[in-house]
Amino acid sequence: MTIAGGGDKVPGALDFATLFAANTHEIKNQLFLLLNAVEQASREHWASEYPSARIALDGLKQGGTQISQRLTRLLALYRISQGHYQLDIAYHGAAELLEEVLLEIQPLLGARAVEMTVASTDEVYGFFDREMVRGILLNAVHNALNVAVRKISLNAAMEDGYLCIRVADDGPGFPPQVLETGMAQAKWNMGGGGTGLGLHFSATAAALHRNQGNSGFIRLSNEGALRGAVFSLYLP
Amino acid sequence: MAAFPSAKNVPVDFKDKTFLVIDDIIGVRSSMRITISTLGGVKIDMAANAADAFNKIERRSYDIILCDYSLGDAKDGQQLLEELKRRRLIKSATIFMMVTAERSYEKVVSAVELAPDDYLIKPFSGEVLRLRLERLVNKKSFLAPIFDLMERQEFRQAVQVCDQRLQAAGPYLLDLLRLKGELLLLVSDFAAARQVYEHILTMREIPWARMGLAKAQFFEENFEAAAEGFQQIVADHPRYMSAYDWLAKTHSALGDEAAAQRVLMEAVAKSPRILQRQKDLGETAYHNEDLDTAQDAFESVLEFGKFSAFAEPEDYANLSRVFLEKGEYTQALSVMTNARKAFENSDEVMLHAAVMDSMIHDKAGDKAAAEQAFGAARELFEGAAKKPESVALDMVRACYQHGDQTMGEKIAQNLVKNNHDNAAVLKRTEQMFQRMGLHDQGKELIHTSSREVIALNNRAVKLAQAGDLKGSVELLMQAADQLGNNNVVVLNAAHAILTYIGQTGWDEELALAVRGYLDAVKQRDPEHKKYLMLATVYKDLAAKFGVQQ
Repeated sequence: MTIAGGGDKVPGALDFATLFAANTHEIKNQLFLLLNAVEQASREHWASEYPSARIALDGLKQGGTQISQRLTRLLALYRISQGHYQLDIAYHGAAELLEEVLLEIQPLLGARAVEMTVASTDEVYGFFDREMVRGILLNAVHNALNVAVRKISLNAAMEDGYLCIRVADDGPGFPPQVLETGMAQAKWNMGGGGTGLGLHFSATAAALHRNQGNSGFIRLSNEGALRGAVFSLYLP
Repeated sequence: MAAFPSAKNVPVDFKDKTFLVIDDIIGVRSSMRITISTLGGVKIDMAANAADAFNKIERRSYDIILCDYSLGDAKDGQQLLEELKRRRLIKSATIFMMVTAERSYEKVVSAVELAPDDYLIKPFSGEVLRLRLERLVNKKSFLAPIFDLMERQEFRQAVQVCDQRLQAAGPYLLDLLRLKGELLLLVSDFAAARQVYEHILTMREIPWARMGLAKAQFFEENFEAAAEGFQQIVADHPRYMSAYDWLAKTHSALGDEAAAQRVLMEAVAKSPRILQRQKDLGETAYHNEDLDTAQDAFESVLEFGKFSAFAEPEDYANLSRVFLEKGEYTQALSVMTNARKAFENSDEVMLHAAVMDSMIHDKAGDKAAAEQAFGAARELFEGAAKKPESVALDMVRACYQHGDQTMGEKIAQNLVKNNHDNAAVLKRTEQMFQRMGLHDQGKELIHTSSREVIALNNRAVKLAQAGDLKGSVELLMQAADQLGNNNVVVLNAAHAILTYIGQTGWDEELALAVRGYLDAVKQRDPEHKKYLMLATVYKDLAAKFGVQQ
């Protein structure tokens, strides 16, 4: 199928990807305004008087935040594909980053009655794009939150010269076909929602981290410390 | 020694910290005030734009500055930060945090050259702000002893503290290495600086480390390697503007003025409002006889300089000289008329104008006006307290044009002796003789005059080597009195005295002379490397002999 305006057949026409990206950006801005309104509403006194209203508003906030993060990933992928993404590699402590992720996830843990533990020695440092890696980890933690029973663990360690950050949960683990086909599956699933986009983003963003001939990557496995799914990010 | 703070955040009491919030939207300012007060901050000032921010920062020193990237239509946050740093209005200990919408995030992180301490993407929670600020406060207090020493210009000790702290650097490893590299460049220990940057680059390709390495190579006079390094930065980070200036300087050092001009033109196209860069371009283009480019550049200097205190009479003379070379005499004269007006007939501008006028009238064939202007120029030049090299060069040319060869020669000899190791001045002098059709004569004069200075230095070194330190000191002090404008000669004298004091003990009379020499160089070039090094040696000796400063 060809889409009108998507090729070079029509002179002066916008290419579809650019059109899509520009609109995604607009949607994200509108969503931001919407989330501000929800935030304001939840500060009204009636919100605290009616627990059901508060729960509904919290649900709106969480859902909206997740949509916003998804759009952010989509836009990042677009910029990467256009070669425009400005990577900001700097020297960071892993502990600092994990602390921030925990801080951001904290409000969601209570509703799901899930406990998250963060483990990293103070001595783990690496060179990476903080915003990008934060996006990867937030995505992984959100996924874990959807399937975890009681526990999620987040830890960082040095492994064979790579900085390795792991998100593990105590859920049922990745389905066997995901583990078998790995990233190919992630690409396949992209159109169908699910974890496809997030995994594709994570793999692409990880690979942008290069050092002395090595590239970053992600690895999916089961049977970690919590006997559920394990998402590992390796940065050179 | 105190225990080093670890990567774990030490909680910070924000009650005592002074905050400045810079944002053009009043609603954002007031919500930032609320956020800061939930962190415990109480000393909070607000600024609505860059000008407002400058006012506040000049009057009060802030611990933490939170600045929005977009500040309406005037300056953006990055430009504000750059100007604050250029004017040295914020100290190393000040925290400057850029707040940005996602839309401008990439512009913020692409500022590789003068980056803020950290940035935050909107929207953010108060807790994230607290975390980031706590970390920065911890980092600044870890580095504070080094900043203190730097402020007191005790650079050698600062390097030592860097080395101590590097034993347990934790998250501050790169910050410490960066400071150490900069300090080593400051004290002219180029080989050690190079090693620091090479070490960083084995860990990661980082633009400021590549820049530091290339600078160290430049100062070690390994110009080929330096050029390669600066080239790489320009290719990978086209917004890293100072890399262009250094690359041009390196091309010049390699004798490739055409390449230097190309690089400067590229930089000026990207960022035209930097006066010094336009001046460099004008001078390089004038040297390359590309008069149109020289005219453009010098005109830009005057145009941008109009609104700042940075334009000088010399800038008008530069432009006038281009018109003179082009044969556009009316233009050349009117530029100097404007100069007299702009600087209200100050001594300096009158000298420049008289010299230029005499040359222009001469070329235009108005002998009477030329003679009159030359007479005035000669009088003003002899009485002038300061004789900048450009006016001295013009004066030499005017002298030759008016047949006063003796005076021209004398001025040229003095100029060369006072700048015998300044390749740029020697090159300009040679070119000027060439323009007058006296190339060989000029080369001979430059050679003889600079030999004279070098021979004198060598005699002093020989005396010192033979054990006659006192004799060496006396000889160099004589030279310094004759060639007070020559940084090398003056600093050599200071160096010899300090060595002598180090061996024989404190001598207040000699120390007074050293202070005079150092102050003279400091006035001309406060960042002169050898000056900074000797100032440190002086302080060390004073401390060693228990002399109160």
